[in-house]
Amino acid sequence: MAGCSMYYCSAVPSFLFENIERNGSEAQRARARDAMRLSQMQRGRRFMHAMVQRPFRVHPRVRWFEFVKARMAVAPECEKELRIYDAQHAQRLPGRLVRSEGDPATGDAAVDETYDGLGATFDLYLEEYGRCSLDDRGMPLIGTVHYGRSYDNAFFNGQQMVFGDGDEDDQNLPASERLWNRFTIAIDVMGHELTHGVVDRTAGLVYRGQSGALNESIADVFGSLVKQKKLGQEAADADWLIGEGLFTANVNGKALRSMKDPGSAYDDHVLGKDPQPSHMSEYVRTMQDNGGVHINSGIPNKAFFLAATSVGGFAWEGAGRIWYEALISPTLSPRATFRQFARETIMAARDLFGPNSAEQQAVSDAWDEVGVIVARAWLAA
Amino acid sequence: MRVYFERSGGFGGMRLTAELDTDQLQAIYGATRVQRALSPEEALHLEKLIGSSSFFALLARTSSAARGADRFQYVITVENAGKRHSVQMTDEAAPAALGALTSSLRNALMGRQIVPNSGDTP
Repeated sequence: MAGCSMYYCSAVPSFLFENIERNGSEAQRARARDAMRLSQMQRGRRFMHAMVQRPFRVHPRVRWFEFVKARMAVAPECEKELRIYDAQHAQRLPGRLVRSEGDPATGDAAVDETYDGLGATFDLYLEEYGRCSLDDRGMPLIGTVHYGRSYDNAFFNGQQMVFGDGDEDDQNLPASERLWNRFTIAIDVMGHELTHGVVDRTAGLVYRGQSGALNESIADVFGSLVKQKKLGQEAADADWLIGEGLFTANVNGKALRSMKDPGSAYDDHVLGKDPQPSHMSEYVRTMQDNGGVHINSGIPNKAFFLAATSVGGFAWEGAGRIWYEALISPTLSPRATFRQFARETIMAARDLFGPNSAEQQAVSDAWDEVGVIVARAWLAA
Repeated sequence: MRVYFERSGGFGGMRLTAELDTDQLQAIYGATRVQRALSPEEALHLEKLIGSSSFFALLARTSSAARGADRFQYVITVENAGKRHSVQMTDEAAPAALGALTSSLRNALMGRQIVPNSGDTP
């Protein structure tokens, strides 16, 4: 028995799910929700393919809006569930639960910044891309702060986000020698870490070489979009810096990375110089950093910056939508190269905005400019 | 004893190095190879950490299958009494015995005193 609405057909008619929601037990409702979420992804993709075949009578922005609405309309409510833990300067995870979803601010800056930052990232993915949490099934978002001592880092461990305090927790270090602030001070760090979780559960880009650099770049892209959306900035007005605010005044640098001008973010006598390339001709071959995943990410970062500023408006609506569609594409493989990802973005731009649209041209030009050339023959079908 | 320490990866993706010589009582750190004197206490502390970690018996490469991103990678090379050994690992795979060593060496990367960080768990 099939049920078809305007945008999709599903094997199980939706009224059956609605009945379970109303009358079923807790376990039955949970399973029905699971089944519905799983089929959402397929529905979304079938919708996109159906749209490609139809004449483009409807404005592209309306098509996207209807897509997101269609996914959300059938979905049971997507509920945000944040949990922030305090590692209390040890390294065991997750630590002690200090703030749950809905709890008021605690007054601990790291805790409250993480709560707000992870929440804003969750909101970006849901409101703009119809994605319910990391796994698109509403999994709780877990962050741990105050990890380790003088720990100048933030990371994602496969299940959760973890943040150190930099030099803020070292009482013996004079202010003139501090180099790092706490890692929760920059909202794009949180968007970056949470996006590693999204990448893991979508394309699964392997964390080394070119696929690893793509993984890193996508984390920077959506981290930056969280910041831009929070500030309400159009692409032309954003600073396109990653990790601004992490360095103290004792470091000669403005941020950890620049998407607009890779290689220009810092040049310090202790920490060194920003090693990022902005063109394939400068691709760095190295053993460190899993084959330079944080280094060569400069190339796709620059491509995103170029595409977003060329399209104009809010970056999360233009290039952001294209990049998200490419990320969830079933043909993007875990070992993708820059070229393969570039191809996916060009096809996504075509599917979303129309063949030969300004958006498709902007994406294609952006990759050309950073030296990632996609053969026209590859784009057929 | 000479110890060479390199840290790469992490959210910032920087590569930082430090070279410590407990005989010459000298430390070199940072991108511009800044020099500073190593105190006898620091030198002794470092030699103890290397000794108690059974450094020369450690595996040359330790990696874990754990998923994740933005973790640090460490390379530690020690030369002592004609022997030389190099160990490479990611921080979540670091053997427990190296916890105190890596946190002391992390201080060295930024040119700080190699003192025990109280309360560190490996």
